[in-house]
Amino acid sequence: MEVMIKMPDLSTTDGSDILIVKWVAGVGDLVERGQVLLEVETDKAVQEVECIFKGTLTAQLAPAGAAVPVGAVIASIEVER
Amino acid sequence: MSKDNNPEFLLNLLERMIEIREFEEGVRFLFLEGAMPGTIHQCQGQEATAVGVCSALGKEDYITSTFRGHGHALAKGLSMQEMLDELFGATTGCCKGKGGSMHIGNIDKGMVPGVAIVGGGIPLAAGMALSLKLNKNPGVIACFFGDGAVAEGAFHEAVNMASLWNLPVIFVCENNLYGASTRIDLVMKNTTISERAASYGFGGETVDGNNVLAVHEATKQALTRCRSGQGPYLLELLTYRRVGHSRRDPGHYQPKSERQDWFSRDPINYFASRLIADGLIDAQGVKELKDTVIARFEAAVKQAKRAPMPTLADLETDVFAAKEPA
Amino acid sequence: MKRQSIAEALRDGIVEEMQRDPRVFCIGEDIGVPGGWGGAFTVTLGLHEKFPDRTINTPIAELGFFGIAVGAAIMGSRPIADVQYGDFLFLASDQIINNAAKLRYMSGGQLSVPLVMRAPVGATGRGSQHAQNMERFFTCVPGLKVVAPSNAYDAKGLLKAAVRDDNPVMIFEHKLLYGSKGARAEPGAVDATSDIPEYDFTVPLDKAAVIREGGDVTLIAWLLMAHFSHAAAVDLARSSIAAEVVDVRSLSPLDWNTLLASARKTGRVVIVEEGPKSGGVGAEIAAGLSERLPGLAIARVASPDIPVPFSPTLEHAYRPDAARITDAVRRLLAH
Repeated sequence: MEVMIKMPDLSTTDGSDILIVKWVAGVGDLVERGQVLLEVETDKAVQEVECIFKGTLTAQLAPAGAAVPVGAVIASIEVER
Repeated sequence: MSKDNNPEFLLNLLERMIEIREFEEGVRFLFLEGAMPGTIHQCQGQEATAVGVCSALGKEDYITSTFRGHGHALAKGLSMQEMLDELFGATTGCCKGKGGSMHIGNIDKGMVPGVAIVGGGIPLAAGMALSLKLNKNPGVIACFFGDGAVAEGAFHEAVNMASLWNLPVIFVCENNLYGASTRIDLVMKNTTISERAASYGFGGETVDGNNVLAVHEATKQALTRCRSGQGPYLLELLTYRRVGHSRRDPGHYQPKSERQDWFSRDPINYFASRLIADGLIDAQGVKELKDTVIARFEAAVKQAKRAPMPTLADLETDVFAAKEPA
Repeated sequence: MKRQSIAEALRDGIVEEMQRDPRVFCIGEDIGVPGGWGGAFTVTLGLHEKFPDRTINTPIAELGFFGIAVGAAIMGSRPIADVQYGDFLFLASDQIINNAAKLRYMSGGQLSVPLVMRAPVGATGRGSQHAQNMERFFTCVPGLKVVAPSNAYDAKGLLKAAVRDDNPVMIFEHKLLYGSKGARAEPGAVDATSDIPEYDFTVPLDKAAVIREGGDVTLIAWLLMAHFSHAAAVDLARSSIAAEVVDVRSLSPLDWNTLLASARKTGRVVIVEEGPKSGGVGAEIAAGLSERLPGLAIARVASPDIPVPFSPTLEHAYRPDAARITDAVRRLLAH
């Protein structure tokens, strides 16, 4: 089952976009709950975004360098059931 | 054979700590998913303080807590269901959805809903102890607060009066080295918090807060003192939180080396290793405990997501208590 | 029946409630020192001899002991906590406002806080930090009940009702109305004595009282200003102006039924308050009346927006008096 991954609400000031610094997991990688998917920057601090589901990363839908709002779709995962 | 060597008791301590860790981790992911409203202040890494203290308390004892109270709640006996329902804002939550994460509690299970003002629960706990004492009730209050609260005037005033009047309250300071993002050495010159008790004329000690049996034992002794009318006790528990102050805090003020050092002394890993070494359980048994807890959590989340939400009819209720017949 | 001052009536009320209910206790500074004052205004004089275990004398720690009182209340005790001067309530604000007022709601009804808090207010030559009228800082807090007795009968009845109520109740008492005697007598004190019956009685916590009837204008006031408004009404009667005087008594919740009935009857309202005009309880009364009775003529008599001064001529100018009240009535009638 394909699940869309959205940018979580990690910013300390509401409303500001979150910058994607770099992708850590690659397309096709097996991912686990808690595994780091990508690094983002909010309010001058770099944070890790963890994966929620167990499965395979099927697409990165926002590139490194892009600033996206909270809730924007950034990846898709084929979830293992 | 003391209770401490009872396998059932020891395994229960482990399960209680695993329950807190998996609950907190599960809630953390619900937030990352965007499924949960509001905010959270979590306690991963501080399981041994909650479980060590609460496992020593009796039915007549109460706890007060703070905005970081999920662990205390589970350790005191609140159910995952009533807590998750509350976190989702449902009417079946422990506070009917009117409190939220920072005010989790169930007075029937001996936990006052959390006071989110730093230090705000400390005078409350002393007052509860005063009431017990006036009623000649043998109960004791365990008052949880963090290292940050010790700077508040409320701490100073409350412990002074508790000492003056020999109130049956254990002041449990979970010293995780940080008040929000500020390290403890930036806010006090004292090297321990427990030493301050002497300046108010009562006793205290500093204990390894990541050793659940040490915490349990220290609490038992403090309870005996309190119940015999010797007055309060300041129990400083050294511990560490693995997560940020609140859900939007990445915790970058915690140096990497410090984190690694504390993670190597994780309270659950440490205790599980001990029990495995003593032959009470094996690695597979620990995994099964964890899986069972996770399954319970997921079932509770499923139910919480279907729980009834408050309506406008609930908005203005529970402000005042109805008049008691004279 | 006996004639008593507010201080005497409160003292009897507290003693009777402590005799009636063993859960009631008093907590405050200087309230239980043998040979002491019985609090700053003698209200608790002699209490310690009668109830040594239930008259708790505290260090100077308002935040701490108000919090202790809240904690005791959630466990079923029924404390009466007091400050020596209302101005000191600010020190206890967190425990009153963030705990006492909110614990029931945020616990979803699990907890109740049957706590009574007493505070003396009013300017009495002691300077700006021992002089404020503090009602306004608490009437705006949901979860608190606020009352203010202008006479001994109401003081005793409200005190008893407050002790028996399961919610946090603040009782504001005016320093010039206590009727304290001897060394604790206040210059400028006003007679607020009443005939007090022997039998047990309470006064409802949510009702105002019409203390003088009239059809031309309504004077709305409480505490000392209720007395000055009454004096103003007597003076106005000599000019054939019939002023009705309403003693607000319950500042939160406000008794809109009584206030509105009078406002409808006279069509003109003068609200008299000791304390700065801006942001006072009078502002809430004016707004509430205006919403409900559009076109109602409303005026407020209050203190200027300044801290309370010391020098007697300045303090006298600060405190509204009967002359300023009658002036306001005449100006309102002239429109």
